[in-house]
Amino acid sequence: MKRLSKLQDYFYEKIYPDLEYLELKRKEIYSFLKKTAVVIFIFVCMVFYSLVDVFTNTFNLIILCATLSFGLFALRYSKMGMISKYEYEESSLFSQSVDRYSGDDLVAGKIDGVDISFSEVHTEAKRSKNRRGEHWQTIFKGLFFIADFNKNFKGKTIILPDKSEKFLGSFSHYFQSFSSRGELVKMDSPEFEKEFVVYSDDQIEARYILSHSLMNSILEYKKLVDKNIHISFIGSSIYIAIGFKKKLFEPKIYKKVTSFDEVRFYYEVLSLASSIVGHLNLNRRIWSKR
Amino acid sequence: MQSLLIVIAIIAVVLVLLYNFLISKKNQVENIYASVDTLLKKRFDLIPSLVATVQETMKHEKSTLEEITALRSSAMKSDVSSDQMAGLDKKLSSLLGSIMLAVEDYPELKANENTLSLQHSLNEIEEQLSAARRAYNQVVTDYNNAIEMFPSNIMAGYMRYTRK
Repeated sequence: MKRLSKLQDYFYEKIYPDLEYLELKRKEIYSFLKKTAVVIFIFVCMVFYSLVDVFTNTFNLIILCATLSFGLFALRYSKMGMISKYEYEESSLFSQSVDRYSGDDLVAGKIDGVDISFSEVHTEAKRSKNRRGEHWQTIFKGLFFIADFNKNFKGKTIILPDKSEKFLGSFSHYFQSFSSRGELVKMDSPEFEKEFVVYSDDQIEARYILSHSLMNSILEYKKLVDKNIHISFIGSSIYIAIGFKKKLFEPKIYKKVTSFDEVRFYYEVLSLASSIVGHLNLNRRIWSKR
Repeated sequence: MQSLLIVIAIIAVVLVLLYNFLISKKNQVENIYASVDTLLKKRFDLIPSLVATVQETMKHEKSTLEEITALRSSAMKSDVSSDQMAGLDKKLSSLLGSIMLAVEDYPELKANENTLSLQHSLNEIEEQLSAARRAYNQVVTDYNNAIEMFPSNIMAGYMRYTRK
């Protein structure tokens, strides 16, 4: 047996050069594989997201078209569209100034001859920066709905959820009367008063709008959806904002889509919008501008 | 001595606040009442056009129409008290109701543009009147509350305010 040291010498003399060459090749292949892996990964992600996107859009289109045609509405859908910030501010429903405004899923058209449009809207205000970075506070998140009321209002009437009356009872009237929104209007329906607080700059017009039947309709909605409802009547429009915690019209890729629950939820949102038109009788001749 | 002056000052401020509070309640009542009155007059003003439009066709209702016109003349007088006005208004409502009901029997009248426009205006005024009356009830309640509840009832006594 030849000695180990001899083997070593032989190794470095004769075999090592070939191994060096192989090592170079190995490094090339390895880095190529790494790059390819990254590219493949990115590609897979892109495919994945575009599939999800296509899936979501298709899903939305199917559901919305089906629901809309079932309800016999003449509405157009735009995924990226939203109610404009100008209209949001015109509504005077939320007095906080908006630092970030976003929204999607705009639906617009006519229901029973009345021009309506609604979308999801999410508005936020920036809270002071601390060491952890910016902190955003949500002003409103949910469905924002505008309809042409076919009548010009002399003043502004605003209906908001009544948070203090639940705690303070009738004493809350005292605190609520200090508001920049206009005069407090005490409605003659105790049930309505408990749920909502009404401000207006015209006591008579506020009651003209809020007939007993309208108040009952609004209360019915509140019971049906159990969300915060804000309504205002300004100019010739009615603005309705309904706060939703969950994002609407977003199917989950990992949840099965054949369940009726999702469709029912979308249908309820759309039929809510249309029954607002119906219950408020926005197409009643008596409201028409003459 | 100092503290006595402060107490007097506080009492004076409270008195002024109470006084102003009661005055504002009283004025709100008068304000809304004026609106109700205006709407009532507006309704009476529709009567000549109504009578002119229907009297040719609605021969049977001649007496009712004459009554309505007479009511309007009484209402237009400048010295009508609020109680009298309320009475006239009530009568007018029932007469107008029967006329509007009678219109149903005259198809050519129903389709007539003037009639439709009048009906629309009348309905509009009725809705506004109902809103104004509700507003009036609210301010009167606020006023009565202010007069009768403590502590403003003491001040109200001095001001000789009475319940509406």
